[in-house]
Amino acid sequence: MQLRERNRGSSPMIGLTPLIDVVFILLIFFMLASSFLDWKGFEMSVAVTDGKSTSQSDVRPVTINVDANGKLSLNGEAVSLSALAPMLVRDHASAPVRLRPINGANLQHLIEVMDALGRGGVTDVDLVE
Amino acid sequence: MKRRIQIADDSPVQEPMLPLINIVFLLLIFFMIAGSLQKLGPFDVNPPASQTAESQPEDTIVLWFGKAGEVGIDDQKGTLENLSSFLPVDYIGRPVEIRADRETDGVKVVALLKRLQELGIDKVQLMTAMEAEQE
Repeated sequence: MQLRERNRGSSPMIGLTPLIDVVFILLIFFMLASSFLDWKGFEMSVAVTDGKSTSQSDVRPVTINVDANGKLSLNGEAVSLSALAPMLVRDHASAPVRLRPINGANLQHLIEVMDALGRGGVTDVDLVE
Repeated sequence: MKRRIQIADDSPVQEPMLPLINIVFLLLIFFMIAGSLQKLGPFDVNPPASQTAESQPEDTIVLWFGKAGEVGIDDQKGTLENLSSFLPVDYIGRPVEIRADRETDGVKVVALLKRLQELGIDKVQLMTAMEAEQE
């Protein structure tokens, strides 16, 4: 009985302040360590060639050159990004597709071309030098 | 006066603090659920944006590839020539994901792929950051 009397008068034993401190520290940790970047990948064949035909199929490969301004040429002929995939599907349906960066084309340009090809149904693309 | 002091003693957290604590809890839960702990590389890269990349490989070796052609794995950094010295021992058969900068010269990316081929790596993913599809 005496103990009860004593406890009634005092404040709660566990304060909320340390808990709030810990929650704040956890919050700061998760804010700094979390990443919302959605990484997705293109599966690349590492069959990097020097441009000479090494494929098993008899069909002549199609080479798309990409330059530093993102301009494209298909087997030496200038072509727009939007027309590329339909042209490949129409004229070179079974040909292996090779992408060659020239004159300092950067990775973003290559990815844009691979995106356009992917949307048009051409997914098997090799990089060549 | 006496009554006021009693109220303060009974509630250790003052009432205006409670909404703040609620918000902090909600933020904490949001970051815990929505975010994923990022893998840090030896240097920063700005990934290329893509709309059609799909693959999300597992158990990969993350290889960072900078604008200047520098290569990094975990916290080690080097060049294409000494890449084999900091590849994990069990790298054969494991897929490699390349996290390259969008400004990297395409020729350097091809050189990296060629180097990986020489080292006997046959599964490679070129990683991009997803961007919303434009209509």
